[in-house]
Amino acid sequence: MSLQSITQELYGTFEQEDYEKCQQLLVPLKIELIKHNLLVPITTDSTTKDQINDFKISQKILEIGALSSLLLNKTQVFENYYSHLKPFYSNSKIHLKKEHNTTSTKIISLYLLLLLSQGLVSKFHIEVEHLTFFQQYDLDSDKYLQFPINLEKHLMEGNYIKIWNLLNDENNLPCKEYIMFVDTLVNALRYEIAKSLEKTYATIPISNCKNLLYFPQEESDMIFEESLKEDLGMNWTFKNGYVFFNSSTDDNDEFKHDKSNKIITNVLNYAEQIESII
Amino acid sequence: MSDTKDIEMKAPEANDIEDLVTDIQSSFSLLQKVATTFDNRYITKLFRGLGSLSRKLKQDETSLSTVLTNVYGSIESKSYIFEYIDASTIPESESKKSEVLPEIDLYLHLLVQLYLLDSDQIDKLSSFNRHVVSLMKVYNRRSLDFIYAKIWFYISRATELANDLYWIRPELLYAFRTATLRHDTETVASIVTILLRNYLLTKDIDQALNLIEKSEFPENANTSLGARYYYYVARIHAIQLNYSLANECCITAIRKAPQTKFSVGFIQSATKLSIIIELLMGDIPELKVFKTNEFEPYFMVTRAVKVGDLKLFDQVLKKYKADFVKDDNYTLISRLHQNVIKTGIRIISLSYSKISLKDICIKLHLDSEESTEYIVAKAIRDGVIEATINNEKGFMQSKELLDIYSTKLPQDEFDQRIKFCLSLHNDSVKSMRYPSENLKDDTKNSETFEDEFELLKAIEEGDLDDFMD
Repeated sequence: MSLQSITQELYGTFEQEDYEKCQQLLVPLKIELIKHNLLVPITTDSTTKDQINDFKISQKILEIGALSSLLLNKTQVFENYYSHLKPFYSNSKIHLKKEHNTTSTKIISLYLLLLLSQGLVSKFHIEVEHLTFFQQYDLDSDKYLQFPINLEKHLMEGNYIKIWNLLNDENNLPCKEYIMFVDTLVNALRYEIAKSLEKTYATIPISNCKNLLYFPQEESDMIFEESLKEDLGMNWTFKNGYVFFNSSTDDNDEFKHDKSNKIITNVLNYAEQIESII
Repeated sequence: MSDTKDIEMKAPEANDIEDLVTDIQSSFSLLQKVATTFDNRYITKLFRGLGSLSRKLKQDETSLSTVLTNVYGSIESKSYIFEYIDASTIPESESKKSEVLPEIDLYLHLLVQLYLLDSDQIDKLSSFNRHVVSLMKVYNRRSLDFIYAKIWFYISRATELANDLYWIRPELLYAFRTATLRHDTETVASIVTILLRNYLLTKDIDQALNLIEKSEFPENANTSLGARYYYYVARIHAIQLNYSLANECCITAIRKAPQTKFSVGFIQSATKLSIIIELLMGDIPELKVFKTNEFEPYFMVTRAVKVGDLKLFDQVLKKYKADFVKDDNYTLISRLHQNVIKTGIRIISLSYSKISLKDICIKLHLDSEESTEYIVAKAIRDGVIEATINNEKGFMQSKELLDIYSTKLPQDEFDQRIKFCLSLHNDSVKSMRYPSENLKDDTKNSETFEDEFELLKAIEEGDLDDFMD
């Protein structure tokens, strides 16, 4: 099969939302792309109009690959596609015009979201910083790019209610691919909240706790306790309708031992140094 | 900068071409000395005059071509060099030299670079640099280390001006490898900083990060290079949210920077970065940092963070956005948003021992009481304040202040200071120079002694014109 025919078929299957088939088609297609030297955009190659158009097509193919793998919940594959796409996005000849609410910004923002849901905040910031270099991406007004950036901002502030509202109303999501992340993000959100609760309160009524963690009120306490332990790994005790947070006091002894050890090593070190000076 | 240059430029106008020619040619004797003694301090001395020399070169172009013809004459392989300078006035020289000393060869290339850079012929310089790069691969002599480092600096400067940052990377990495294998610390240090700058200019943070993780900056390299290196490292760490490390590096950078008029720009941008990092760590920089007008936007930001006023902060951010973008600090500063809220909460918790969440919400201009509860909880978790929230009655209660001397904080603080003093002492002992054994016998020879004395004086005065850009 030639490159063109598979590409046409891929477009068709993607339209029909048959993502499994897309994945199958992509394997021979990528090999074809390599044969035509189109998988990696090399700056010296992208001079004529035809070449740039070819690269645009291969970018589109890879974008379909990224989206379809994401919709099948294969995040690892999505990441691979993203690293393939990265040189395309940073090639200023392929992306001459301003990118505003396009597939490219959508995929970038999905990748950012993936990093956030995995808790890789520093990588997230590296990516954002990288984007500021390119004129064609407008971080402040692009609806796709705005989403993860706002999310991170609220997360750092602790403004969890805003995130909850963002995630819970599907109308707020710029496109359907984001739904894939909602579950993981909600879980990450609950974990963050639980961590804060632990430090902030000595004790709290169970119903309030459910409220704060956005668990449905009707859920029985047993299930609530279960899911706390299962999903979040929190070890809290329930008593008389209150939640008690176990403050860590038992390792105090060890801590003190550690402290005196440290002082001894420090002082010995000073003595050694001073002796060498004299 | 440009003003001072103008004034200085008027002075050498009276000089003859002859003077400049002899000037350059006299520096050859120094280079010959380097070639025979392998004492790189002579080069340090030579480079001290480079700044004024380059200004003179710009004044009259003919002298450079005269020198070049004198040296290269009719050597076929070097003919390309004449394409880059105004060669109309080449006097036919009869002298035929079969070989040029590599030190002199490269030094002349450096001068051509300087001349092209100063006279804004960036296109020519870029193509000339490709010749230089291939030339540098030919030689392998320890006496060339310093010249290499310098030449790389100007090559990278040219690529920046020409906005063609990518072609040089493989060359730099290649040179980096050879320099490391030859234990050529000067070039290694120079190339690492150049590479970092190159990566940061295109915002390839992850590559820069890989570089600093996998390479080691030579400890005994030039301090001004060290200053630059630490500044870039600080920036990378700051982007990665690793603020305490970034702060350390930033302070080292400012300390290491030479205190001359050429480094004012560097110190300024390093100070700007350090202000932001301090703010991000939740500290407020001291007032004396902001003594010049240059820092006005940063001063306003600091003020907004200090009073914890979100509205003011947003206004400042909008007003000075262009300044921050120019300094490459905008993304870092927009992260401060959360710090503004946190300082607000901290101020409240210091003034009230008990306050309802609703009041906090109103005071800090937050959206709702519920979000206030989350934000305060997060602040407590991050250790910004010591407090608890009473969920049922909806208030925040500050914990009583602990006796700080019963904790190990003072101990840690002392430990830090003692370690700093000790390492300062050790470093100063290490950097002392003693005359070597065989030199002692030579002291009778007054010429060598004088030489040595001059060298030491040059090093003591110590500024390098590295910070001219």
